[in-house]
Amino acid sequence: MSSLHFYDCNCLVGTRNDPPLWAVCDPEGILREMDLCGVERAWACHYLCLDCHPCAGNAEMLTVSREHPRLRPVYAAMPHHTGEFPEPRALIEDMRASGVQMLRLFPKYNANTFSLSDWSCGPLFEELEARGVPVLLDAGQTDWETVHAVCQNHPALKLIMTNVYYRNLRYVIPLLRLHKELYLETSGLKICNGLDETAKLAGAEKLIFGTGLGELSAGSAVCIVLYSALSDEDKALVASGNLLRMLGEERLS
Amino acid sequence: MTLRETALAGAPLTGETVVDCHMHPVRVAQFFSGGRDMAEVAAKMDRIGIGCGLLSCFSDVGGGKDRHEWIKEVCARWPGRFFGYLSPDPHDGEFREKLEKWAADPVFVGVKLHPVVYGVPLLCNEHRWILAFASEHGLPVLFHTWGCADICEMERAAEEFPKAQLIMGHSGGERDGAALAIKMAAEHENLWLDTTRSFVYCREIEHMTEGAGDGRILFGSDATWNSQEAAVGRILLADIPDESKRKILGLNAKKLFHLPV
Repeated sequence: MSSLHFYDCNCLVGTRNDPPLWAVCDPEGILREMDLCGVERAWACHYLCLDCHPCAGNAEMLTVSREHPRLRPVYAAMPHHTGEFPEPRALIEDMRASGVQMLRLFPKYNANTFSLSDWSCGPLFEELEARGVPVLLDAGQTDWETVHAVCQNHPALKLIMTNVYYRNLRYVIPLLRLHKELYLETSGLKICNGLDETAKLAGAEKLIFGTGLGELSAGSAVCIVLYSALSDEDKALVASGNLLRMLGEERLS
Repeated sequence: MTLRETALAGAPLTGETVVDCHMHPVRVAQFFSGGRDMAEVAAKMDRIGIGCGLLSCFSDVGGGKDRHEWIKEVCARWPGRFFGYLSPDPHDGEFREKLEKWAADPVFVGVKLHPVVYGVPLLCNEHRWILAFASEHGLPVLFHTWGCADICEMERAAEEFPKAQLIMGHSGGERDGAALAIKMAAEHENLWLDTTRSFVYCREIEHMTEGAGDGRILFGSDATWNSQEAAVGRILLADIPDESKRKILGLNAKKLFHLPV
C-alpha cells in the first residue's frame, strides 16, 4: 500500500437541489470513495452554500464534520457589504473558534454572485492575507485575468485554484511562476505527464492534492500522483505536505 | 496483491494484459501536453505497466509522410508494443484506395473515425463506405462520440452494420451521453464503451460495468494528449472485482482486436 498520505483539499458534500447523474452527495458515500482510493482526509465545503446560502451551508458543514471528523470543514465566504455575511474579522474569529482552516469562494453569477475586485473583496482578502488563511477558488468561477489581478493586489493571499480544466495550463503555469502564493489543486492535471511537467515548470511545492469528490473519480486523482515520475519526496509534498505546511499543521505520523 | 493494492503502492501492473485502446502519436496545438514524443510515452507506459497501445492520427505530420507511414514507423520501433488504427480522411478523394492499401498491413488492427475533426456527420456516406469495408475485413471501428446525438447515431450505425464492432469513443462524453452510451451498449452486442476521457465521473466505471457488463468496456487514455495515470486509476480503484478490471484493462481489447499480447 502507499506510504503517501492523501489529504484532499477539493471536496463538496451534501444533498443538492439538482444532483448531477452519479454524483455522490452524502458524507458516507464520500467516505466510502475515500477509503477505496486511499484518501485519509478531505477538506469539504457543503453544497447548501450554493443551493441555499453560505451561512446555512457553513453551519451544516460543521455538523457534518462533527459526525465525520475525516471531513474537515471549509467555509464558503462572500463579501460583507450587504450585511448578510460577517465582516472579515468576525468571520476569521468564527473560523478559528470552529476549527475551520480554509475558505472557498463561489463568485460566479448564479452561484454566490459577487465580484472578486478589490472594491468588493478587498477587505476580505486583506484579512485573509494577514491571518494566513488559504482560499479555494474553482477555475470555472472566475477568469485568469481576475486571478492575476487578485494575486497582484494581494501577494500574500494563499490562493488555491481548484478544478482547473486540463486545457487551461498555458494560462495557469505562467501565473504559478509569477505569483508566489498561487497554488494549483491537482485533480485537473489530466494532460499527459501533467503533474510531472507542472512540477518541473512551476515547482512541486505549488501543487496541492485534490479529487473533486463527490463528482469526479478519486481513483484518477490519486493515480496521477502515485504513477508520476516525481521523487518520493515531491509526491509526499503534493499528496499532503504542501497543504499541511500551508495550514501550519505538523504531519501526524 | 489485488489490483487496488498494486495501484495504491504505485507499482507497475506486472504480468497483467493492459491495452490502451485510444492513443495518438503526436501532440496537438490546442492545449499544452507533456507528451513530447513516443519514447517519453513508452517510458510512462513502463512505469504503469501498460503493455500495448493502439494509435490513430488525424493528419499527416509533415516530412511528406502519410499518417499511416508515421504510425507504421512508431510500431516498427516498438514491435508488439504499438498497433495502429486506419485513420481515413473522408475529404481525401483517394481515401478508399489508401484504406485498402494500409488495411493489408498487419500493424493496423482497426479504424478510427472522427466526425468533429473532419466536420462530417457521423453517418455520412464516406463513413458508411468505411463501415462496410471494416465489417468485411473484421476491423473494429472507434468513433469519436460526444453527446446524446452521437450515441443515437451510433445506435443507427450498429443496426445498419450489424457485423461491425463499433466503439463509442469517450462513451458519449458528458453525463447524459455517457448514460445513453451505457444503455445502448447493453442493448446492442456490437457497441462498445471506451473509458477514455479527460475526466471521469465518480463511480462511472461501476455504472458502466453494472449497466452494460464488463465484457464490452475498453481502457483508453488519449495519450499522448491526456494522462494514462488518471485513465488507469479510475479503473484500478473502482469498486468492481479484479476479474472485471482485467477485462476492461486489456483482455477485452486483446479479444476484440486479436492482439498478440
